[in-house]
Amino acid sequence: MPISEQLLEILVCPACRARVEMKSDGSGLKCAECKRVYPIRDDIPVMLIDEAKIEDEQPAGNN
Amino acid sequence: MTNDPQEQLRIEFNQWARAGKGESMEKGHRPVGTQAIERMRVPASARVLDVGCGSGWASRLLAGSAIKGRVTGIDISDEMIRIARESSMSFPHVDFETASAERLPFSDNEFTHAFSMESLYYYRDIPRALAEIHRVLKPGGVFVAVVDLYWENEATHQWIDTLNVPVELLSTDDYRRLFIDAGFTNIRDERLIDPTPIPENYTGSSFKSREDYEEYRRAGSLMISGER
Repeated sequence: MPISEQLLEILVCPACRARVEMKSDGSGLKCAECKRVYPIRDDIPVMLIDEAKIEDEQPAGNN
Repeated sequence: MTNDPQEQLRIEFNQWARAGKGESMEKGHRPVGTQAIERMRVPASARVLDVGCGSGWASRLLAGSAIKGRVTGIDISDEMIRIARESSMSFPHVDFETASAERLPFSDNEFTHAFSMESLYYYRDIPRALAEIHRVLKPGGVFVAVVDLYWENEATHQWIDTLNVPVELLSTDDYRRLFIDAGFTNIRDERLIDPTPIPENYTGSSFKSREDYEEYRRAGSLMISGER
């Protein structure tokens, strides 16, 4: 059973309280502001700051 | 061995989960938890947060009232949360996630009710957790917490040395003051009594003797409630 839409609607980043969005591969929830990615394990979001990894997907050399 | 209090709690309660303690905690806490939840008068449309939900038994009980609403359970132990989720597959309006009470992953004004059973005294920063619960409640929202380990229930003090994690030993007045400081109003405290008979030949591990167990039962569980 995947993560429910209703749960995704209410979850925010515990560090900065911005919205989180499901990554395209479904492996985690990414904060729109601080770029922390919270892992999803066995369909359960792990919303712990210590478990999150900061992922900046902006490609470098864009100037 | 980690020095991080949150990680210590996670490791300890993951061990409890593996040892099947979720079931025994449900058995031990349900008679009083049921009374506390009845006092919450959860309406059908309620949006309820269960803080420190463990194996999720109280979340499912709350879900029986919030039939047109939603119940969200959080716990620091990912293994407890896995058990909670697996045990709640027949409840489409119940969700679980691993999270810290001191850093709730929810927006302000999200819930109408919050519940916490035998969880508060494990937190390293209880004021912060209470402020977080207050923040995610809607105005007029209700928080009900129950603790068995508190100053006036002397028989429970023996747990402090047997637990593998540090706990806060607080009095009823301490809890009331913490609730006030977090911004709660209409604060009430009440002792809830578990009416389940104690076996004559008590050999459980929670108390040194049957007399201690009886003393614990006489003092009862401390329920504290407040409104946002």
